[in-house]
Amino acid sequence: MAFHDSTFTFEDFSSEPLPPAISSIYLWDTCKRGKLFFPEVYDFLLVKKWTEEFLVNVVSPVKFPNRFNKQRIVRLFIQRAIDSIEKSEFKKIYDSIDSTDRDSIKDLIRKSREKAKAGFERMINFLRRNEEFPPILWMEFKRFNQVYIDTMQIMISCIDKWYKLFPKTKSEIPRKSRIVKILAEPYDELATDFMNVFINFFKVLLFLEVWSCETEDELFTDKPWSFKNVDFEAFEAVFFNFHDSINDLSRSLLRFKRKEVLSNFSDPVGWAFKRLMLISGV
Amino acid sequence: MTPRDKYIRKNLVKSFCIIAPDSSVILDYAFMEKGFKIKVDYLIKDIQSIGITCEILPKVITEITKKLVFAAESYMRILRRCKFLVSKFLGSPLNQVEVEKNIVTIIEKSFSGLIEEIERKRYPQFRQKIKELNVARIIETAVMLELRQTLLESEEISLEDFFNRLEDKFEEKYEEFNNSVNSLFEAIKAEKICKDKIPEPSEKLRKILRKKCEVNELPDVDLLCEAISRMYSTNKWYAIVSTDYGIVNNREAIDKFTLLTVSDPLYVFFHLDQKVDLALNPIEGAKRQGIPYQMFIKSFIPPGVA
Repeated sequence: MAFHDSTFTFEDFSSEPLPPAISSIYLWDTCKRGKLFFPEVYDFLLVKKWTEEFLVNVVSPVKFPNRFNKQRIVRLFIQRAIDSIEKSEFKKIYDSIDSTDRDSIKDLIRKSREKAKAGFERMINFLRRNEEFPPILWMEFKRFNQVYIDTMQIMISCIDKWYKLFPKTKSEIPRKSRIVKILAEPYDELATDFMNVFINFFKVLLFLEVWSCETEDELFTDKPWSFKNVDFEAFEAVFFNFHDSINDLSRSLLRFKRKEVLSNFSDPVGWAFKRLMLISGV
Repeated sequence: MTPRDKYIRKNLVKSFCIIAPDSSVILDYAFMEKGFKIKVDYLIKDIQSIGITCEILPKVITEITKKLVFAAESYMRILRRCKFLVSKFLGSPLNQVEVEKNIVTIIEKSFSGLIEEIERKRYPQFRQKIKELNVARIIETAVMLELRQTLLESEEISLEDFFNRLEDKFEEKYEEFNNSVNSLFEAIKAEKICKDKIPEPSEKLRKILRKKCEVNELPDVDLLCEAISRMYSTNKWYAIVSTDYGIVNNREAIDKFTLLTVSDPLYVFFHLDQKVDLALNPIEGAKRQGIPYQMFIKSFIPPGVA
Protein backbone atom coordinates (compact mmCIF):
# COMPACT_ATOMS: atom_id res chain seq x y z
CA MET A 1 0.00 0.00 0.00
CA ALA A 2 1.36 3.41 -0.96
CA PHE A 3 1.70 5.58 2.08
CA HIS A 4 1.49 9.34 2.11
CA ASP A 5 2.37 11.00 5.35
CA SER A 6 -0.08 13.84 4.75
CA THR A 7 -2.92 11.56 5.83
CA PHE A 8 -3.34 8.55 8.05
CA THR A 9 -6.38 6.34 8.22
CA PHE A 10 -7.61 3.30 10.10
CA GLU A 11 -6.89 1.30 6.95
CA ASP A 12 -3.24 2.39 7.09
CA PHE A 13 -3.11 1.49 10.75
CA SER A 14 -4.78 -1.88 10.25
CA SER A 15 -2.29 -2.95 7.58
CA GLU A 16 0.67 -1.89 9.72
CA PRO A 17 1.33 -1.69 12.69
CA LEU A 18 -1.84 -3.43 13.93
CA PRO A 19 -1.09 -7.09 13.00
CA PRO A 20 2.59 -7.13 14.04
CA ALA A 21 1.75 -5.20 17.22
CA ILE A 22 -0.92 -7.75 18.16
CA SER A 23 1.52 -10.53 17.35
CA SER A 24 4.14 -8.95 19.66
CA ILE A 25 1.77 -8.71 22.61
CA TYR A 26 0.45 -12.20 22.01
CA LEU A 27 3.98 -13.62 22.04
CA TRP A 28 4.85 -11.87 25.30
CA ASP A 29 1.68 -13.21 26.84
CA THR A 30 2.55 -16.69 25.60
CA CYS A 31 5.99 -16.48 27.22
CA LYS A 32 4.55 -15.11 30.44
CA ARG A 33 2.12 -18.02 30.70
CA GLY A 34 4.93 -20.49 30.01
CA LYS A 35 3.17 -21.76 26.88
CA LEU A 36 6.07 -21.28 24.50
CA PHE A 37 6.54 -25.00 23.74
CA PHE A 38 2.89 -25.84 23.16
CA PRO A 39 2.39 -26.18 19.37
CA GLU A 40 -1.29 -25.19 19.63
CA VAL A 41 -0.48 -21.64 20.77
CA TYR A 42 0.72 -20.93 17.23
CA ASP A 43 -2.64 -21.97 15.80
CA PHE A 44 -4.03 -18.83 14.19
CA LEU A 45 -7.53 -19.52 15.52
CA LEU A 46 -6.19 -19.17 19.03
CA VAL A 47 -4.39 -15.95 18.12
CA LYS A 48 -7.70 -14.57 16.83
CA LYS A 49 -9.59 -15.57 19.95
CA TRP A 50 -6.91 -14.04 22.16
CA THR A 51 -6.99 -10.82 20.11
CA GLU A 52 -10.73 -10.49 20.56
CA GLU A 53 -10.44 -10.82 24.33
CA PHE A 54 -7.55 -8.39 24.43
CA LEU A 55 -9.33 -5.74 22.37
CA VAL A 56 -12.43 -5.82 24.55
CA ASN A 57 -10.25 -4.56 27.40
CA VAL A 58 -8.97 -1.79 25.19
CA VAL A 59 -12.21 -0.31 24.07
CA SER A 60 -14.53 -0.45 27.02
CA PRO A 61 -13.40 2.68 28.92
CA VAL A 62 -12.77 4.99 25.92
CA LYS A 63 -15.07 8.01 25.75
CA PHE A 64 -16.93 8.09 22.44
CA PRO A 65 -18.77 11.03 20.88
CA ASN A 66 -22.49 10.97 21.69
CA ARG A 67 -23.39 10.45 18.05
CA PHE A 68 -22.17 6.85 18.19
CA ASN A 69 -23.64 3.71 19.67
CA LYS A 70 -20.75 2.47 21.73
CA GLN A 71 -21.62 -1.21 21.75
CA ARG A 72 -22.00 -1.32 17.98
CA ILE A 73 -18.71 0.53 17.51
CA VAL A 74 -16.88 -1.81 19.84
CA ARG A 75 -18.12 -4.83 17.89
CA LEU A 76 -17.23 -3.18 14.60
CA PHE A 77 -13.73 -2.23 15.79
CA ILE A 78 -12.94 -5.73 16.97
CA GLN A 79 -14.30 -7.22 13.76
CA ARG A 80 -12.23 -4.89 11.56
CA ALA A 81 -9.12 -5.52 13.63
CA ILE A 82 -9.58 -9.29 13.36
CA ASP A 83 -10.19 -9.01 9.60
CA SER A 84 -6.99 -7.06 9.12
CA ILE A 85 -4.96 -9.59 11.10
CA GLU A 86 -6.48 -12.37 9.07
CA LYS A 87 -5.59 -10.64 5.82
CA SER A 88 -2.05 -9.84 6.91
CA GLU A 89 1.06 -11.89 6.22
CA PHE A 90 1.10 -12.86 9.89
CA LYS A 91 -1.57 -15.47 9.33
CA LYS A 92 0.76 -17.24 6.90
CA ILE A 93 3.70 -16.85 9.26
CA TYR A 94 1.77 -18.36 12.17
CA ASP A 95 0.51 -21.17 9.93
CA SER A 96 4.08 -22.03 8.99
CA ILE A 97 5.56 -21.89 12.50
CA ASP A 98 7.46 -24.90 13.70
CA SER A 99 7.27 -24.69 17.48
CA THR A 100 10.22 -27.09 17.82
CA ASP A 101 12.46 -24.68 15.98
CA ARG A 102 13.84 -21.82 18.04
CA ASP A 103 14.84 -19.86 14.97
CA SER A 104 11.34 -20.03 13.58
CA ILE A 105 9.99 -18.40 16.77
CA LYS A 106 12.78 -15.84 16.84
CA ASP A 107 12.06 -15.04 13.24
CA LEU A 108 8.41 -14.43 14.09
CA ILE A 109 9.40 -12.09 16.92
CA ARG A 110 11.87 -10.23 14.72
CA LYS A 111 9.32 -9.85 11.91
CA SER A 112 6.69 -8.63 14.35
CA ARG A 113 9.16 -6.14 15.75
CA GLU A 114 10.40 -4.82 12.41
CA LYS A 115 6.95 -4.48 10.88
CA ALA A 116 5.46 -2.87 13.96
CA LYS A 117 8.41 -0.49 14.22
CA ALA A 118 7.97 0.56 10.58
CA GLY A 119 4.27 1.17 11.18
CA PHE A 120 4.93 3.22 14.31
CA GLU A 121 7.49 5.31 12.47
CA ARG A 122 4.96 6.15 9.76
CA MET A 123 2.51 7.25 12.39
CA ILE A 124 5.17 9.39 14.06
CA ASN A 125 6.00 11.07 10.74
CA PHE A 126 2.35 11.68 10.01
CA LEU A 127 1.67 13.19 13.43
CA ARG A 128 4.80 15.30 13.28
CA ARG A 129 4.01 16.75 9.86
CA ASN A 130 0.41 17.51 10.65
CA GLU A 131 0.28 20.54 12.85
CA GLU A 132 -3.36 19.99 13.72
CA PHE A 133 -2.27 17.23 16.15
CA PRO A 134 -0.68 18.19 19.48
CA PRO A 135 3.14 17.84 19.18
CA ILE A 136 3.23 15.90 22.40
CA LEU A 137 1.59 13.05 20.52
CA TRP A 138 4.44 12.34 18.09
CA MET A 139 7.01 12.77 20.84
CA GLU A 140 5.17 10.28 22.99
CA PHE A 141 4.79 7.84 20.08
CA LYS A 142 8.52 8.06 19.57
CA ARG A 143 9.13 7.10 23.19
CA PHE A 144 6.58 4.34 22.79
CA ASN A 145 8.43 3.01 19.75
CA GLN A 146 11.71 2.99 21.68
CA VAL A 147 10.37 1.12 24.71
CA TYR A 148 8.67 -1.30 22.33
CA ILE A 149 11.95 -2.09 20.54
CA ASP A 150 13.83 -2.45 23.84
CA THR A 151 11.21 -4.81 25.28
CA MET A 152 11.17 -6.97 22.16
CA GLN A 153 14.95 -7.20 22.31
CA ILE A 154 14.68 -8.61 25.82
CA MET A 155 12.16 -11.17 24.58
CA ILE A 156 14.51 -12.32 21.82
CA SER A 157 17.33 -12.85 24.31
CA CYS A 158 14.96 -14.72 26.64
CA ILE A 159 13.89 -17.07 23.86
CA ASP A 160 17.53 -18.06 23.39
CA LYS A 161 17.78 -19.02 27.05
CA TRP A 162 14.40 -20.68 27.35
CA TYR A 163 14.76 -22.75 24.20
CA LYS A 164 17.73 -24.51 25.73
CA LEU A 165 15.06 -26.33 27.75
CA PHE A 166 13.13 -27.45 24.71
CA PRO A 167 11.34 -30.74 25.51
CA LYS A 168 12.64 -33.79 23.70
CA THR A 169 9.30 -35.57 23.83
CA LYS A 170 5.70 -34.41 23.83
CA SER A 171 5.18 -35.72 27.33
CA GLU A 172 7.94 -33.45 28.59
CA ILE A 173 6.16 -30.31 27.43
CA PRO A 174 4.12 -29.58 30.62
CA ARG A 175 7.12 -30.04 32.94
CA LYS A 176 9.50 -27.98 30.83
CA SER A 177 6.83 -25.34 30.39
CA ARG A 178 6.48 -25.04 34.14
CA ILE A 179 10.22 -24.40 34.36
CA VAL A 180 9.97 -21.74 31.65
CA LYS A 181 7.10 -20.15 33.51
CA ILE A 182 9.29 -19.92 36.63
CA LEU A 183 12.16 -18.52 34.57
CA ALA A 184 9.79 -15.96 33.10
CA GLU A 185 8.63 -14.75 36.51
CA PRO A 186 11.23 -11.96 36.81
CA TYR A 187 9.81 -10.62 33.56
CA ASP A 188 6.26 -10.66 34.82
CA GLU A 189 6.04 -6.97 35.62
CA LEU A 190 7.77 -6.07 32.37
CA ALA A 191 5.29 -8.17 30.39
CA THR A 192 2.35 -6.65 32.27
CA ASP A 193 3.63 -3.13 31.67
CA PHE A 194 4.20 -4.02 28.02
CA MET A 195 0.62 -5.18 27.66
CA ASN A 196 -0.64 -2.14 29.52
CA VAL A 197 1.26 0.24 27.28
CA PHE A 198 -0.34 -1.40 24.26
CA ILE A 199 -3.80 -1.20 25.79
CA ASN A 200 -3.26 2.53 26.20
CA PHE A 201 -1.74 2.86 22.74
CA PHE A 202 -4.82 1.26 21.17
CA LYS A 203 -7.02 3.51 23.25
CA VAL A 204 -5.31 6.59 21.82
CA LEU A 205 -5.73 5.25 18.29
CA LEU A 206 -9.34 4.28 18.78
CA PHE A 207 -9.94 7.70 20.26
CA LEU A 208 -8.42 9.40 17.22
CA GLU A 209 -10.50 7.22 14.92
CA VAL A 210 -13.87 7.79 16.56
CA TRP A 211 -13.36 11.52 16.99
CA SER A 212 -12.27 11.86 13.34
CA CYS A 213 -15.52 10.43 11.99
CA GLU A 214 -18.92 12.04 11.71
CA THR A 215 -20.98 8.95 10.93
CA GLU A 216 -20.72 5.26 11.69
CA ASP A 217 -20.22 4.52 7.99
CA GLU A 218 -16.96 6.43 8.08
CA LEU A 219 -15.59 4.47 11.00
CA PHE A 220 -12.67 2.10 10.41
CA THR A 221 -12.38 3.00 6.75
CA ASP A 222 -10.06 5.26 4.79
CA LYS A 223 -11.37 8.44 6.41
CA PRO A 224 -8.24 10.44 7.38
CA TRP A 225 -7.57 11.09 11.02
CA SER A 226 -8.20 14.56 12.24
CA PHE A 227 -7.96 16.40 15.53
CA LYS A 228 -10.45 19.13 14.68
CA ASN A 229 -13.51 17.87 16.54
CA VAL A 230 -11.79 16.24 19.46
CA ASP A 231 -13.09 16.67 23.01
CA PHE A 232 -9.82 17.84 24.51
CA GLU A 233 -10.66 16.88 28.07
CA ALA A 234 -11.44 13.34 26.98
CA PHE A 235 -8.25 13.27 24.94
CA GLU A 236 -6.22 14.43 27.93
CA ALA A 237 -7.48 11.51 30.00
CA VAL A 238 -6.55 8.99 27.29
CA PHE A 239 -3.22 10.64 26.57
CA PHE A 240 -2.17 10.95 30.24
CA ASN A 241 -2.74 7.22 30.76
CA PHE A 242 -0.71 6.45 27.65
CA HIS A 243 2.15 8.67 28.84
CA ASP A 244 2.02 7.14 32.28
CA SER A 245 2.08 3.59 30.96
CA ILE A 246 5.16 4.38 28.83
CA ASN A 247 6.85 5.66 31.98
CA ASP A 248 5.95 2.46 33.83
CA LEU A 249 7.38 0.28 31.07
CA SER A 250 10.43 2.48 30.79
CA ARG A 251 10.98 2.07 34.54
CA SER A 252 10.56 -1.69 34.31
CA LEU A 253 13.13 -1.75 31.52
CA LEU A 254 15.64 -0.01 33.78
CA ARG A 255 15.69 -3.19 35.89
CA PHE A 256 16.91 -5.24 32.94
CA LYS A 257 18.82 -2.75 30.91
CA ARG A 258 20.67 -0.50 33.27
CA LYS A 259 21.61 2.51 31.28
CA GLU A 260 23.12 5.66 32.58
CA VAL A 261 20.54 8.38 32.47
CA LEU A 262 22.19 11.37 30.91
CA SER A 263 20.41 14.64 31.07
CA ASN A 264 21.74 18.05 30.29
CA PHE A 265 19.61 21.11 30.20
CA SER A 266 22.37 23.67 29.84
CA ASP A 267 22.43 23.86 26.03
CA PRO A 268 20.07 26.41 24.39
CA VAL A 269 17.21 23.99 23.66
CA GLY A 270 17.64 22.24 27.03
CA TRP A 271 17.55 25.62 28.72
CA ALA A 272 14.35 26.52 26.83
CA PHE A 273 12.78 23.18 27.78
CA LYS A 274 13.57 23.79 31.43
CA ARG A 275 12.33 27.39 31.40
CA LEU A 276 9.07 26.40 29.72
CA MET A 277 8.50 23.65 32.27
CA LEU A 278 9.16 26.05 35.12
CA ILE A 279 6.96 28.90 33.88
CA SER A 280 4.08 26.65 32.85
CA GLY A 281 2.25 27.43 36.09
CA VAL A 282 0.14 24.27 36.03
CA MET B 1 18.22 8.05 75.85
CA THR B 2 20.42 5.48 74.15
CA PRO B 3 23.09 6.71 71.71
CA ARG B 4 21.00 5.23 68.87
CA ASP B 5 18.08 7.47 69.79
CA LYS B 6 20.14 10.56 69.13
CA TYR B 7 19.61 10.10 65.42
CA ILE B 8 16.52 9.31 63.34
CA ARG B 9 15.00 6.01 64.48
CA LYS B 10 15.05 4.47 61.06
CA ASN B 11 13.07 1.34 61.82
CA LEU B 12 10.23 3.21 63.47
CA VAL B 13 10.11 5.83 60.73
CA LYS B 14 10.11 3.06 58.13
CA SER B 15 7.29 1.20 59.85
CA PHE B 16 4.96 4.06 60.68
CA CYS B 17 5.56 6.72 58.07
CA ILE B 18 5.22 7.39 54.35
CA ILE B 19 6.74 10.21 52.35
CA ALA B 20 5.59 11.75 49.09
CA PRO B 21 7.79 14.12 47.08
CA ASP B 22 5.96 16.91 45.31
CA SER B 23 6.71 18.07 41.77
CA SER B 24 9.30 20.65 42.90
CA VAL B 25 11.59 17.88 44.20
CA ILE B 26 11.14 15.88 41.00
CA LEU B 27 11.93 18.90 38.83
CA ASP B 28 14.96 19.77 40.95
CA TYR B 29 16.26 16.26 40.47
CA ALA B 30 15.60 16.15 36.71
CA PHE B 31 17.05 19.59 36.08
CA MET B 32 19.84 19.16 38.62
CA GLU B 33 19.09 22.58 40.04
CA LYS B 34 22.25 23.94 41.61
CA GLY B 35 20.60 25.31 44.74
CA PHE B 36 18.72 22.12 45.51
CA LYS B 37 20.78 19.27 44.09
CA ILE B 38 22.61 18.48 47.32
CA LYS B 39 19.34 18.44 49.28
CA VAL B 40 17.68 16.11 46.82
CA ASP B 41 20.73 13.83 46.74
CA TYR B 42 20.59 13.54 50.53
CA LEU B 43 16.87 12.90 50.40
CA ILE B 44 17.42 9.98 48.01
CA LYS B 45 20.19 8.56 50.22
CA ASP B 46 17.96 8.83 53.31
CA ILE B 47 15.02 7.20 51.56
CA GLN B 48 17.27 4.34 50.46
CA SER B 49 18.94 3.84 53.81
CA ILE B 50 15.70 4.02 55.82
CA GLY B 51 13.73 1.99 53.29
CA ILE B 52 10.65 4.15 53.90
CA THR B 53 7.64 3.79 51.61
CA CYS B 54 7.71 6.54 49.06
CA GLU B 55 4.51 7.43 47.24
CA ILE B 56 3.81 9.56 44.20
CA LEU B 57 0.38 11.14 44.46
CA PRO B 58 -1.85 11.43 41.37
CA LYS B 59 -1.76 15.25 41.48
CA VAL B 60 2.02 15.17 41.18
CA ILE B 61 1.92 12.96 38.09
CA THR B 62 -0.80 15.09 36.51
CA GLU B 63 1.07 18.30 37.27
CA ILE B 64 4.28 17.08 35.66
CA THR B 65 2.45 15.74 32.60
CA LYS B 66 0.60 19.04 32.21
CA LYS B 67 3.90 20.89 32.38
CA LEU B 68 5.26 18.64 29.65
CA VAL B 69 2.20 19.24 27.48
CA PHE B 70 2.53 23.00 27.98
CA ALA B 71 6.27 23.04 27.22
CA ALA B 72 5.95 20.89 24.08
CA GLU B 73 2.91 22.68 22.77
CA SER B 74 4.37 26.16 23.35
CA TYR B 75 7.76 25.34 21.90
CA MET B 76 6.48 23.70 18.72
CA ARG B 77 3.79 26.33 18.13
CA ILE B 78 6.15 29.30 18.43
CA LEU B 79 8.96 27.58 16.56
CA ARG B 80 6.70 26.67 13.66
CA ARG B 81 5.24 30.16 13.55
CA CYS B 82 8.77 31.56 13.44
CA LYS B 83 9.62 29.12 10.65
CA PHE B 84 6.57 30.25 8.69
CA LEU B 85 7.47 33.94 9.12
CA VAL B 86 11.10 33.33 8.14
CA SER B 87 9.94 31.62 4.96
CA LYS B 88 7.49 34.46 4.28
CA PHE B 89 10.17 37.15 4.72
CA LEU B 90 12.66 35.24 2.58
CA GLY B 91 10.07 34.52 -0.10
CA SER B 92 11.51 31.09 -0.81
CA PRO B 93 11.26 27.53 0.53
CA LEU B 94 13.52 26.96 3.50
CA ASN B 95 15.15 23.85 2.06
CA GLN B 96 16.67 26.07 -0.63
CA VAL B 97 18.22 28.55 1.79
CA GLU B 98 21.50 27.92 3.59
CA VAL B 99 22.05 29.12 7.15
CA GLU B 100 24.23 32.22 6.82
CA LYS B 101 24.99 35.35 8.78
CA ASN B 102 22.28 37.37 7.07
CA ILE B 103 19.64 35.00 8.45
CA VAL B 104 20.11 36.57 11.86
CA THR B 105 18.21 39.70 10.84
CA ILE B 106 15.42 37.58 9.34
CA ILE B 107 15.09 35.68 12.61
CA GLU B 108 15.03 38.96 14.50
CA LYS B 109 12.34 40.30 12.16
CA SER B 110 10.30 37.11 12.50
CA PHE B 111 10.32 37.23 16.28
CA SER B 112 9.44 40.94 16.19
CA GLY B 113 6.48 40.02 13.99
CA LEU B 114 5.56 37.20 16.30
CA ILE B 115 5.72 39.40 19.40
CA GLU B 116 3.58 41.97 17.62
CA GLU B 117 0.99 39.30 16.85
CA ILE B 118 0.85 38.38 20.55
CA GLU B 119 0.60 42.06 21.55
CA ARG B 120 -2.33 42.56 19.17
CA LYS B 121 -4.18 39.39 20.15
CA ARG B 122 -6.89 39.54 22.85
CA TYR B 123 -6.41 37.15 25.75
CA PRO B 124 -9.05 36.38 28.39
CA GLN B 125 -6.56 37.48 31.05
CA PHE B 126 -3.68 39.92 30.82
CA ARG B 127 -1.30 37.51 32.56
CA GLN B 128 -1.86 35.00 29.75
CA LYS B 129 -0.52 37.57 27.31
CA ILE B 130 2.51 38.16 29.52
CA LYS B 131 3.09 34.43 29.71
CA GLU B 132 2.85 34.05 25.93
CA LEU B 133 5.34 36.90 25.47
CA ASN B 134 7.63 35.21 27.93
CA VAL B 135 7.36 31.93 26.01
CA ALA B 136 8.19 33.66 22.72
CA ARG B 137 11.28 35.32 24.24
CA ILE B 138 12.50 32.00 25.66
CA ILE B 139 12.21 30.31 22.28
CA GLU B 140 13.79 33.28 20.52
CA THR B 141 16.80 32.91 22.82
CA ALA B 142 17.10 29.19 22.08
CA VAL B 143 16.78 29.71 18.32
CA MET B 144 19.35 32.50 18.24
CA LEU B 145 21.87 30.72 20.45
CA GLU B 146 21.60 27.62 18.26
CA LEU B 147 21.99 29.75 15.17
CA ARG B 148 25.10 31.42 16.57
CA GLN B 149 26.57 28.02 17.30
CA THR B 150 25.81 26.80 13.77
CA LEU B 151 27.46 29.90 12.30
CA LEU B 152 30.44 29.60 14.63
CA GLU B 153 31.02 26.04 13.49
CA SER B 154 30.59 27.10 9.84
CA GLU B 155 28.20 24.23 9.41
CA GLU B 156 26.54 23.90 6.00
CA ILE B 157 22.89 23.32 6.66
CA SER B 158 19.63 24.44 5.09
CA LEU B 159 17.17 26.48 7.13
CA GLU B 160 14.65 23.64 6.82
CA ASP B 161 17.10 21.23 8.43
CA PHE B 162 18.05 23.83 11.01
CA PHE B 163 14.44 24.15 12.16
CA ASN B 164 13.93 20.38 12.07
CA ARG B 165 17.01 19.98 14.22
CA LEU B 166 15.55 22.39 16.76
CA GLU B 167 12.47 20.15 16.94
CA ASP B 168 14.58 17.01 17.23
CA LYS B 169 16.65 18.52 20.02
CA PHE B 170 13.53 19.42 21.94
CA GLU B 171 12.24 15.88 21.54
CA GLU B 172 15.57 14.60 22.91
CA LYS B 173 15.18 16.84 25.95
CA TYR B 174 11.63 15.58 26.39
CA GLU B 175 12.93 12.02 26.47
CA GLU B 176 15.86 12.89 28.75
CA PHE B 177 13.50 14.50 31.21
CA ASN B 178 11.18 11.50 31.30
CA ASN B 179 14.09 9.09 31.64
CA SER B 180 15.48 11.14 34.47
CA VAL B 181 12.16 11.13 36.34
CA ASN B 182 11.83 7.37 35.82
CA SER B 183 15.33 6.78 37.16
CA LEU B 184 14.49 8.85 40.25
CA PHE B 185 11.32 6.84 40.83
CA GLU B 186 13.27 3.64 40.43
CA ALA B 187 16.02 4.82 42.81
CA ILE B 188 13.54 5.59 45.58
CA LYS B 189 11.28 2.63 44.69
CA ALA B 190 8.43 5.09 44.35
CA GLU B 191 4.93 3.70 44.26
CA LYS B 192 2.48 5.56 42.08
CA ILE B 193 -0.85 5.88 43.83
CA CYS B 194 -4.00 5.64 41.73
CA LYS B 195 -6.85 8.07 42.27
CA ASP B 196 -9.13 5.30 43.47
CA LYS B 197 -6.82 4.63 46.42
CA ILE B 198 -7.46 8.12 47.76
CA PRO B 199 -10.80 8.86 49.41
CA GLU B 200 -12.39 12.05 48.12
CA PRO B 201 -11.54 14.98 50.38
CA SER B 202 -14.32 17.17 51.73
CA GLU B 203 -15.02 20.84 51.13
CA LYS B 204 -14.40 21.41 54.84
CA LEU B 205 -10.81 20.27 54.46
CA ARG B 206 -10.31 22.64 51.53
CA LYS B 207 -11.71 25.47 53.63
CA ILE B 208 -9.36 24.68 56.53
CA LEU B 209 -6.37 24.65 54.19
CA ARG B 210 -7.35 27.92 52.55
CA LYS B 211 -8.57 29.88 55.55
CA LYS B 212 -6.70 28.50 58.56
CA CYS B 213 -3.50 27.31 56.92
CA GLU B 214 -3.47 30.17 54.38
CA VAL B 215 -2.61 27.97 51.42
CA ASN B 216 -3.68 30.16 48.51
CA GLU B 217 -2.73 28.25 45.37
CA LEU B 218 -5.41 25.85 44.20
CA PRO B 219 -2.95 23.15 42.98
CA ASP B 220 -1.30 23.22 46.43
CA VAL B 221 -4.68 22.79 48.13
CA ASP B 222 -5.46 19.84 45.83
CA LEU B 223 -2.15 18.16 46.59
CA LEU B 224 -2.47 18.65 50.34
CA CYS B 225 -6.03 17.28 50.23
CA GLU B 226 -4.77 14.11 48.54
CA ALA B 227 -1.97 13.73 51.09
CA ILE B 228 -4.25 14.26 54.10
CA SER B 229 -6.86 11.85 52.72
CA ARG B 230 -4.17 9.31 52.12
CA MET B 231 -2.70 9.78 55.61
CA TYR B 232 -6.00 9.09 57.38
CA SER B 233 -6.94 6.22 55.09
CA THR B 234 -3.60 4.45 55.62
CA ASN B 235 -3.36 5.68 59.22
CA LYS B 236 0.38 6.20 58.78
CA TRP B 237 2.22 9.47 59.35
CA TYR B 238 2.53 11.18 56.01
CA ALA B 239 4.96 13.83 54.77
CA ILE B 240 4.96 15.94 51.63
CA VAL B 241 8.57 16.77 50.76
CA SER B 242 8.96 19.97 48.83
CA THR B 243 11.37 22.70 47.86
CA ASP B 244 8.48 24.97 46.96
CA TYR B 245 8.56 27.40 49.87
CA GLY B 246 5.12 28.75 49.01
CA ILE B 247 3.84 25.56 50.60
CA VAL B 248 6.70 24.71 52.99
CA ASN B 249 6.35 28.08 54.74
CA ASN B 250 2.84 27.13 55.84
CA ARG B 251 4.00 23.84 57.32
CA GLU B 252 3.33 24.72 60.98
CA ALA B 253 -0.28 25.69 60.36
CA ILE B 254 -0.84 22.64 58.15
CA ASP B 255 0.56 20.38 60.85
CA LYS B 256 -1.46 22.09 63.58
CA PHE B 257 -4.81 21.79 61.80
CA THR B 258 -4.38 18.49 59.94
CA LEU B 259 -1.28 16.70 61.35
CA LEU B 260 0.19 16.40 57.85
CA THR B 261 3.94 17.04 57.71
CA VAL B 262 5.12 19.35 54.94
CA SER B 263 8.85 19.74 54.86
CA ASP B 264 12.01 20.74 53.10
CA PRO B 265 14.04 17.58 52.28
CA LEU B 266 16.65 18.56 54.89
CA TYR B 267 14.27 18.21 57.82
CA VAL B 268 11.66 15.71 56.72
CA PHE B 269 12.95 12.64 58.56
CA PHE B 270 13.50 14.61 61.76
CA HIS B 271 9.87 15.77 61.60
CA LEU B 272 8.69 12.22 61.06
CA ASP B 273 10.88 11.06 63.92
CA GLN B 274 9.00 13.52 66.14
CA LYS B 275 5.67 12.10 64.96
CA VAL B 276 6.85 8.64 65.89
CA ASP B 277 7.72 10.05 69.32
CA LEU B 278 4.04 10.61 69.98
CA ALA B 279 3.59 6.83 70.09
CA LEU B 280 0.23 7.36 68.42
CA ASN B 281 -1.03 6.82 64.91
CA PRO B 282 -2.55 9.75 62.98
CA ILE B 283 -6.15 8.91 63.93
CA GLU B 284 -5.26 8.63 67.62
CA GLY B 285 -3.20 11.81 67.34
CA ALA B 286 -6.10 13.67 65.73
CA LYS B 287 -8.53 12.45 68.40
CA ARG B 288 -6.20 13.59 71.15
CA GLN B 289 -5.80 17.05 69.61
CA GLY B 290 -9.46 17.43 68.73
CA ILE B 291 -8.81 17.52 64.98
CA PRO B 292 -12.02 16.63 63.07
CA TYR B 293 -10.27 14.13 60.79
CA GLN B 294 -13.49 12.28 59.96
CA MET B 295 -14.81 15.44 58.34
CA PHE B 296 -11.76 15.73 56.07
CA ILE B 297 -12.99 12.93 53.85
CA LYS B 298 -16.40 12.83 52.13
CA SER B 299 -17.31 9.37 53.33
CA PHE B 300 -14.80 8.28 55.89
CA ILE B 301 -14.20 4.57 56.32
CA PRO B 302 -11.77 3.77 59.14
CA PRO B 303 -8.66 1.86 57.98
CA GLY B 304 -9.10 -1.89 58.09
CA VAL B 305 -12.87 -1.66 57.59
CA ALA B 306 -13.74 -2.96 54.13
